[in-house]
Amino acid sequence: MPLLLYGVTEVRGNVLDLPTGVGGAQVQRIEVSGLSCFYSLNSTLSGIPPRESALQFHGVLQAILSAQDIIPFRFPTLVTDAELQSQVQEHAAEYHEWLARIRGRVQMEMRIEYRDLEQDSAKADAGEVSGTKYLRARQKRLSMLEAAAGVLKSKAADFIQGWRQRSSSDRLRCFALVRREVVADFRHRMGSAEISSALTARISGPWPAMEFFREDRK
Amino acid sequence: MATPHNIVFSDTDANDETSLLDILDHVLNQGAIIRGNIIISLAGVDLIYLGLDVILTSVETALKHMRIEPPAQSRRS
Repeated sequence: MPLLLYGVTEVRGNVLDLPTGVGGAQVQRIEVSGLSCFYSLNSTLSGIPPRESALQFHGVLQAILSAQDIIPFRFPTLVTDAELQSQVQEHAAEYHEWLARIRGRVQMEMRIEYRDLEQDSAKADAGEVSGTKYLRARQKRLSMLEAAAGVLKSKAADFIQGWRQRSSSDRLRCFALVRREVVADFRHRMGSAEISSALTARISGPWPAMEFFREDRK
Repeated sequence: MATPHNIVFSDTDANDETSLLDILDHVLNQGAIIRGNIIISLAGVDLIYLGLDVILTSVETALKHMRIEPPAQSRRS
């Protein structure tokens, strides 16, 4: 029967009451190469609406994350028992390195975007704005996004142990690595940040620290 | 310059559509990837060793096409 993989943690983590998994299947744990691998036996996912199964999957990850640092697998990762063993053994050194790098920390996320972006894009699409003007405006918008990211980062600088950001389509996505115990304080600080009224910053987390498993290439 | 309502919080428990989008983005687009080949069953017929990428692609595509409305109102925590 296929195994639906949720994630791997260090074996040394806190004891966790195993939650119910996707489709009501019981989440189980197996130790491979010094890692705890969480999975459930799912003969098929086809009977469960994708949205429901993805949310159930997320629920399991959050339950584990509340107790331990976790490397989640992308949903849905279905493998056989033999593949689970071989694949985790193959990547064990890498997983141990990642977990050591983010130990005791989680990822907070900030998405910064313009409130009126769709209106501007519609004008550009309708030919109401020249190409040069549009590009200049876009450059200005990106600068404002960067400035807002700077404000958010400085607001909680003493909590932030890692920072990554990515821009895409006039939006900026920022990731902060923080210790578990300061998540509430981090959110409080973000709530009092002041950024341009033309922007919205959406704060979410804690998430598994996926953005920080690998060293920053910069 | 600043307004009190342009910093919003999105929870990780899918209580609103914004949170749902965040969650789907994380579980579908982030996470470690390992390769596996497995027999899956659709409509009672076993399909022989589909590549995992095929399964991933089909589910992601399905979710992208799911109708998810933008949030009517985000809330502060």
